[in-house]
Amino acid sequence: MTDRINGGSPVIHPQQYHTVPTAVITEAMQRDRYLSRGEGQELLAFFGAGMKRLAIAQTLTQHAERIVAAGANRIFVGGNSMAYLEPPEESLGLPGSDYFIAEDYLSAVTRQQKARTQNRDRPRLIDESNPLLEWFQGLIAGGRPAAPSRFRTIDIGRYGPVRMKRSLRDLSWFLRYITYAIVAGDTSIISVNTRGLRGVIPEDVTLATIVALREMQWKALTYFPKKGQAAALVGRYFDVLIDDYEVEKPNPQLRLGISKHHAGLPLPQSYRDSASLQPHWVMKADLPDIEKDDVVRAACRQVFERDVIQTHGTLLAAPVSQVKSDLGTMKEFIRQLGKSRLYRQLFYEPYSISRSIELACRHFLGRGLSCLEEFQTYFDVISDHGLSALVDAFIDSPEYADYFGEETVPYLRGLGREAQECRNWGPQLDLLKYSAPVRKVPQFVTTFGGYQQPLPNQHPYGAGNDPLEIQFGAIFPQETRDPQPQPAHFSEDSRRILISNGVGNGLVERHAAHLGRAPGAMEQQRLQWEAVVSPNGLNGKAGGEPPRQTSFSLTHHSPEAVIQATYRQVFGRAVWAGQRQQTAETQLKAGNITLREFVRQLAKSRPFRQLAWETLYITKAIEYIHRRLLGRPTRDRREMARYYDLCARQGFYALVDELIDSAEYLAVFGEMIVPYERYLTPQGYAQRSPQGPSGWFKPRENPAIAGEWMQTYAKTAMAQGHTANHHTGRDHSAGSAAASPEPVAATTAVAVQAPPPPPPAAVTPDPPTAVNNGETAATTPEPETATNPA
Amino acid sequence: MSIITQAIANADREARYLSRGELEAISHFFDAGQQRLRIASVLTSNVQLIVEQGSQRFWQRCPLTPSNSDNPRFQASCLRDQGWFLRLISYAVVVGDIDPLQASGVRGVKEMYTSLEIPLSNVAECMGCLKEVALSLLSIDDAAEVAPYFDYLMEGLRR
Repeated sequence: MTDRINGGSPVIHPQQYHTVPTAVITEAMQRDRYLSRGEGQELLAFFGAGMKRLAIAQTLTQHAERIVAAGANRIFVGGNSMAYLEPPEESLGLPGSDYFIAEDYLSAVTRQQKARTQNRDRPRLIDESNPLLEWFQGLIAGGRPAAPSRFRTIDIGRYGPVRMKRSLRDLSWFLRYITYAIVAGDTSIISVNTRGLRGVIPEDVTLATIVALREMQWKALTYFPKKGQAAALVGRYFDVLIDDYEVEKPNPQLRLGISKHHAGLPLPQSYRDSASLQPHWVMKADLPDIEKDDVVRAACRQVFERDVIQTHGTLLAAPVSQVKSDLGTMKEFIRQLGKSRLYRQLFYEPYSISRSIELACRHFLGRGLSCLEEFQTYFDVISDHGLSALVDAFIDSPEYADYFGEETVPYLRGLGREAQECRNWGPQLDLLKYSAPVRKVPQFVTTFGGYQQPLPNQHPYGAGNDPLEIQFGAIFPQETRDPQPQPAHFSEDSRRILISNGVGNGLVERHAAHLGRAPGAMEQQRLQWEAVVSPNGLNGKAGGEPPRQTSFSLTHHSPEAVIQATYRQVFGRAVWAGQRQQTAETQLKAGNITLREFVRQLAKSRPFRQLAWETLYITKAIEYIHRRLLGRPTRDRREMARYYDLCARQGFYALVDELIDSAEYLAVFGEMIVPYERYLTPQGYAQRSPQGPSGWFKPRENPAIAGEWMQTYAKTAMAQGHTANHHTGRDHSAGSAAASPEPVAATTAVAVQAPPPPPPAAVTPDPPTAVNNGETAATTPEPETATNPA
Repeated sequence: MSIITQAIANADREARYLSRGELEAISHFFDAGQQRLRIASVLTSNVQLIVEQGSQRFWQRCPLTPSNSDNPRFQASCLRDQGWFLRLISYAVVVGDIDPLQASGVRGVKEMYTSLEIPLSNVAECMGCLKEVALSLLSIDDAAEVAPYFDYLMEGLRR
């Protein structure tokens, strides 16, 4: 129901097998038509025979153990092979026991309606079986398959328990898939899962497995009346299984590279099999006329993305009749379609050239552009010689010949057909969608271009993955509305833009004063814990009682205030009474631990772990903890990778230790200073500024950040009609006093009169090792980097 | 995912056979198969009628919409799209599953209409009209079976 976006790319779930209804629907969907009468009959038969198939499946399930045992006993000797079978548990409450946990909305509704309307007992699917009778039936059934002469039984002791367990698991696994396939009414589920398994299972037991499967088939058939439909069905499914098993392991499907630098990518054969239901259309001379019509229509659908024969048939009459009477090949037909007036009208004139190239690539090669160089090649072609040359270039390319040759209609080579490239992943998925032609903006070239952009304003792990400019648990707020399917352009070395919060930042004061300050941020001050001078060194008597000397001083902060501030910083809020770490507080007050230790204990406390670790995904957890303890967002991918590694190997507590013991922490906060927020991302900055990002461009909001741009603004814009602006501004500030506390007049005065503030505001934070580098902070990037959030 | 694929996927994940509960659910599905096919065939054979009446009703309710603006191209494409939606719904009814609606019905179409600047609320309204007309052709039981699919589509478009 929702688009789930992760790291900027859509999540894809390939459908790996089919049931009868889905197979029928896919076919009809492909051809844009309603279900035909024949298909209706097929479905009707499927539904009608459904109960029988269920009964068969249930019989097999019930006797599963005996069937597997029969197979195992045939090939293993010297012990009880069934002892190695670990039966799957079917406990109550698991999905499928009597209710579905993961049931979706629709099936829940229909099921409830059903339960309401027809609340009657259902007939039992099968009756109880009689073991004695079965044994007797097995005796008279006969016809046990003979093993081939090369076959040798396997000794359990020599085979070893691990391999025994494995092979018994596999045998029951085969049977399980047979029951699934019988329920689904389609053998594709067997094929997808077992084709080529022979290559996976060790060579020496290949033959044995087949013998065991034959034996299982025989055993399974004894549970059904001889020569009945049910027996035939079960026998057939076993045959399919054994046939598929015997097939050589197919090679992975290779995607042909467009050049030797872009070599082929492999895709497992099973994926390809799952897509095989969508037919390739091939024009052959000996096809009947009706099918030729189908192929022509498919070609039009591929090139024009819709069936144009009905509406524009007269325009295309000549090439259509040519291809149908074998005067031209399909390739020539496609070429003529591409050069037709209609194609030009539909896909060239309404678009920019870049987009036309992308669309043409879809139409004639069935994929998106692969890299910037490829785009440039085609761009040269189209700008020198026009659209028809582009069409020729695509159709004459070796790639077209490799994939489609002379007769095949081009098809979309999306997921399931081929491995997809990472570089153009998002745009490619978009391009192969139904809605591609309505998108007028070129996507590939912008994406490729994006890879060469300077510092993007996003998280090192993807456009949609910036975890903390997020409010109220909405994980990817802006990305769900207009998802940006581009990967992050971050390399190992690029850094995020971080805006200084303006308070100290661990730098010397004169530099700090020049840095931009986020207007919505609290006026944070450095809070410092004053070490208590203890006369006798014990100091353990007063649990919550603050020491006298310091609490009277106006220049110092009371211990309680410092402790509260520490809680606020670490947890992001004042904690509930029950969450306070009394022991740590006592120790701190007694002077037994430093404030740094206190922070560490808070960070390792149960409530903080729950808040920042257990409920969050890992990127967000790291980001959160990092901001809390070190006072800045993470900086680059290298840093993130280090934390990922640490978390994966050693977990939460190691992460906390790493942050608190870091050189950066010691240099900036030392032993006694309460951590504070030092840097923000531009996005976070934008969110905190009173009027959002648009507020940035108004001089009165933040003189320091607006920089040089503001001076020109002050000269031009303020001269005209500033007074009116002034009044409305005042009204506004009266309305939301909390949001913009400073009086408007004061700031505009600064804007007009004050000497130009240094451009500044965006700096990358200091590397943790370099302790004192005011120079870095002073050399700031261009003003537009700082002022332009997008 | 339809009930069958869902059940198989669940069972496969836990490496077990299909349980009795799942088999029951699937047999419900088979039982209702006839009914679903009947519904689909009613929808299929009455497309013209449903689209005609539905669009009349739609234009009464939403007179200010591109398809009602005397532009024959807009009008024709609106009618075509309605038929297309009905077809998707007939697929979904047959499979007993919202999957066919989801991929191309809601997501793709939403993108398309947004970029064509056709208000989605109008499209949803139009679906509502189609639903009313279609349901009036069906018996109460059948109507109850189809209604969720229309609702799903409308909900998806509104969101």
